[in-house]
Amino acid sequence: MKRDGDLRQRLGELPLPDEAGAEERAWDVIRAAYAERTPSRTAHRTRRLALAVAVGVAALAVGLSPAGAKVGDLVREVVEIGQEDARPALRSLPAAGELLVESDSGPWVVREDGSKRLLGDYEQATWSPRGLFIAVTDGRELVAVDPLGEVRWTVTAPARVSDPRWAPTGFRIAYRSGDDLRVVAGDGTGDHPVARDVAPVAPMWLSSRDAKLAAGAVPVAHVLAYVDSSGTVRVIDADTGATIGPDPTQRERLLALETGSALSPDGERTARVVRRSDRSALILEEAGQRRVIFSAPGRLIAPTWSPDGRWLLVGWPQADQWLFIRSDEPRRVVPFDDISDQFDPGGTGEAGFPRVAGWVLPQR
Amino acid sequence: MSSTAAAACEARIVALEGQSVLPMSVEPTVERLAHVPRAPRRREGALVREAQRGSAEALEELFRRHWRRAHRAAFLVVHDSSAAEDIAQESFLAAIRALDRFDRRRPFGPWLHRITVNRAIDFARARALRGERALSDVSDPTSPDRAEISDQLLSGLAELSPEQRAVLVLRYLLDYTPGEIGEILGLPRGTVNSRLRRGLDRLRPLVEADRS
Repeated sequence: MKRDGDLRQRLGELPLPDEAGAEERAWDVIRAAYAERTPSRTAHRTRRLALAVAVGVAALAVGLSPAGAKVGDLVREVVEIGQEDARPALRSLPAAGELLVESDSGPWVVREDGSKRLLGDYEQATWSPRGLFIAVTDGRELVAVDPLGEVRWTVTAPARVSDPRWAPTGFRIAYRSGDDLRVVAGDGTGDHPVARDVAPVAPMWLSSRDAKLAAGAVPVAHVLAYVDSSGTVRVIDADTGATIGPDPTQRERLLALETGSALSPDGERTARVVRRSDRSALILEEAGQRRVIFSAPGRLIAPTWSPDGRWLLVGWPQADQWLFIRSDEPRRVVPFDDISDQFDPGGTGEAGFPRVAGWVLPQR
Repeated sequence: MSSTAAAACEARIVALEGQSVLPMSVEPTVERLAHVPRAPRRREGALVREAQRGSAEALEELFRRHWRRAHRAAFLVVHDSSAAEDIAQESFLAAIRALDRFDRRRPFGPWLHRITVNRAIDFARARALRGERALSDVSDPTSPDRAEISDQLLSGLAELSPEQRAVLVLRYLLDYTPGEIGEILGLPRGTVNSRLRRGLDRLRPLVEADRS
């Protein structure tokens, strides 16, 4: 159409400020970066090698004691992998699914091909179990958005909202509002308080198996565990608020989740970050057995399972890296570099380290 | 919540989760854009191969071919010349970093445009969320009439969301079909078409006023 042709022409002819200068400046930068391609890899390897040596020395120190011998072996295995170059950009995920990432600029959805979408100016976020929606917090508001950031509904709570957790059934979302614990249906209706004076610890939905164990003979669809202000773990029916009982068996799991643990999708394994002085170890617990699958100087944060349960993603803020580690094959580590910058477009470079809030396989 | 109310909520949620929401493709877009016929593709494949082997001349030819449209696309989405320069530059740098892994049988342009436009959308969104204002820094003192028209067009574009601007730019500057735009942005074709319609409704009067 002629008029569309006009628009095409106008967009193509629109004068840009200093267009030629921009092109030459860009070419200078591109040419320099291209010329440094090989040297920069060497520098990268050198840095990685230095880190590997540091890890190796620490591993040796651990290995000197009999109790640390096994850990030392595992750490040395990881050192060999650590010499591989980290990928400069998150171009793809090693397993199917999409990540939900909390950053200073807001929550992001990262697709399997590495492309990202900023959801908006929100704070915390939680996936719906099928990956169709995300519940995000914004001051006193709990907001449900789709993965493109389109708002589906908003609930305004009496006080600041935090720690949203979408139930495995998809039908409920629990969240803290001030000192209250509240629950709302997945479509934004029926918002109501279920407990007062809760501790600043995220609530935890019990799996159907654990819910049966906790509730006994009476079937309860949505069983929620939380910590009250006295430190007692309480288990309640999320729809009625009725107490099912203080449950000491859930305490360790609930608090562990707050301190850097993650249950595998099949519920059989727990990935746990353990800190010892200035080092962190990622430990896998399964059937009463524990093994170290990665160790590094500094902190490791927010271990997250891939939907298929084969990969663990863990953040390494000190190295500004995310590490994808095969849970059944710890020699396979896929590191990605410059994570902070990748979630701070147009920022000052001082953004905090992004935290992974979930990894789901969308069922769209 | 009563059991009746809870059941009603669940029924609504089943409907909500079951409804057709905008699907986000998880397949690598570059692969699915491989069929897109783009001008001198074979030659471009040779340039990519030479650049992969270390030829700065080949890289420069690739750069010169694609810079202007990538830069212009970024500018039309973010409306900030400094940011557009940075975004286009960073997109090229990202392309160079991934050059060794690039399949030279595939067209370079869609790969670059996808990086550029998505970065521009993210930048525009992040800036809007930070409450910054875009600068209307387009001017051409040597051609006042054209500058005025351009300002009108830019003002019209500025009233659209970054996502709508991106759709228009991909369609009318970079000449992608709605289906290809959907693949680049991870949107259904229907959404692309509706954004194109809304965007054109806003911009056509400005363009036609100029024509008359």
